[in-house]
Amino acid sequence: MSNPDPSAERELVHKTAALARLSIGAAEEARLGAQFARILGAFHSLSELNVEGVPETTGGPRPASAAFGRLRADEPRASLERAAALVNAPQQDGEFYVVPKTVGGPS
Amino acid sequence: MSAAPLKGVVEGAAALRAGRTSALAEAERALERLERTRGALNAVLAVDRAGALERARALDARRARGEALGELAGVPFALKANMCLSGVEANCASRVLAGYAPPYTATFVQRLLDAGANPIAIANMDEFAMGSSGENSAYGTTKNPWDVARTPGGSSSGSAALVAAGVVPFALGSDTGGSVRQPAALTNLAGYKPTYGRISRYGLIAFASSLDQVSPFARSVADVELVTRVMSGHDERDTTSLPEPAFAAEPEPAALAGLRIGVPREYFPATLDAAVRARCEAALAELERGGARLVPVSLPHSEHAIATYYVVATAEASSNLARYDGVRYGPRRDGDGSLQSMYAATRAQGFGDEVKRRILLGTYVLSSGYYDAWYRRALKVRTLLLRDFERAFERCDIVAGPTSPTAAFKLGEKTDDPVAMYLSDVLTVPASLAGLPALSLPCGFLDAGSNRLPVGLQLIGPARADARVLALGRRYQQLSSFHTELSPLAREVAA
Repeated sequence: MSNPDPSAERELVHKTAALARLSIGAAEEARLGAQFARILGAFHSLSELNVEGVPETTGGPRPASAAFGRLRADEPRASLERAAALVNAPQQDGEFYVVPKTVGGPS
Repeated sequence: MSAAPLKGVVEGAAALRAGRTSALAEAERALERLERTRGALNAVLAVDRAGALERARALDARRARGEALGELAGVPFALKANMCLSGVEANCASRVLAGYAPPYTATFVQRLLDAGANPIAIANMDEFAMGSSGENSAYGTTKNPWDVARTPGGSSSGSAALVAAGVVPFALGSDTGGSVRQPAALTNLAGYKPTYGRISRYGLIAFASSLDQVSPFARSVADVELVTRVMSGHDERDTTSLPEPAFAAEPEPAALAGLRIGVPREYFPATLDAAVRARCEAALAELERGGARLVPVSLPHSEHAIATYYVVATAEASSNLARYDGVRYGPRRDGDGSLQSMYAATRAQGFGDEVKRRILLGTYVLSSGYYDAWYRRALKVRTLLLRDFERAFERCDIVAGPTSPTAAFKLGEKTDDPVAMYLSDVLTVPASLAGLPALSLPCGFLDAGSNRLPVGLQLIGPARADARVLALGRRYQQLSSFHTELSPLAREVAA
């Protein structure tokens, strides 16, 4: 997956950064692009392994116990108070987080 | 004030219960040692002086009233900056979470508080636990108390440095791919990553959820074991926590007779630092003289562990770190006034280089067209790595080898080469991917100029065999004395 073409590397970083909601300048794009290609190149050995029929492991060891991962009863309980949940927000109105307008253009 | 021998966890709690010291004296001593070493180490992001002194006074009052005290009564400790103690800043050493004071306390922290332990400080770390050297903090690099020109390892750099400098008897780190075991090896400490699910992660700020484990540092294995037992046990607030109570300690296998220690050939490659190899081989020989049998084993997919780990961990990180967008916590950057540009500007200015690299890598391996080739494939290779261990454990009881391929490297040595830095984790990520309990403990020193640098031995057990791994670790520390040696900074602090 390593790409020797610097403009393609930059393009890849550019597209991925947009997906990741990261704004990245041109110089950073070039630097990260080169590193990105080197990292993917170093990891390329994964593609050489035969993994046909091998199941995926998505977590740590799972005990066979029926209790593992079981959800608790759906009963109302005290939770974090609204004021405590809002206390770290950069902008809030006492009830909600406040964010820039999402419809009808910038407010 | 500070002229007192360094006490361990077990010893310190016993001294307090017996009335030979007070919680207030221990807290004041730790705070004073912290200030004395602060400039040299940069290991601390926040100090909870008022809270620590208040808790200490309350504990002393309880003792004066004759009330029963917990197993960790009056023992000062430090938390990593990705752990929640209500009202105390936990910014993950990132600008994106600057000022974030969690409104709740983590389950594992609460269990330590209930046992009487006293948190005094929040330790520096690699930003969002992404790093192997402590050099990725937005608040400056942490130094190694054995040689301040070198790394203490990472990502739990500050926690390791504080224990190795004699400031606190124990500290908590989090180990995702080796972030406690590797710094433990580089600073002459015991560092223990329990079986996946042994300790609740409720209140641990997530990096890679299928890997992250709360893990303690201390100078002795007995101390990390006590702290681990106090924190472990099911927590209904974490669905990945094992549905069983805290494990009971096992007696040390005194004669070691019959114990089979598997030595994987892949953990002693030709590229391994010669002195690290020699110290680990000497430690294994010591265990053999004690009656254990060394059994050659193979973990044939180990060479793919780094790639697997960095695909899986970054994929999970790209998802976990999506929440840092300037809405609920941390400073907000406005961009051009739109919501999307606010997200992108907040994240661009809030995250450091390594975090951006990993978010990009994780986003890429999860993106359309690349998901099967990278992420899904890595999950399958993870299964192969797990099976390697299962096969090895048919032939042995414990797997042993070096924790880190080198001793502490110089600061700046690997910062320009992410791949070289990632390779620091080559011997620790396999146990992480397999969810296995793994302990790093001191097994000797090598000479580096005028300094001696510690070397760590890693013991890995089958899933849920935490008590077995720790009992063997305790036994090794009866046969050796490396763990009793103090760093130059700790000797100064205790003088």
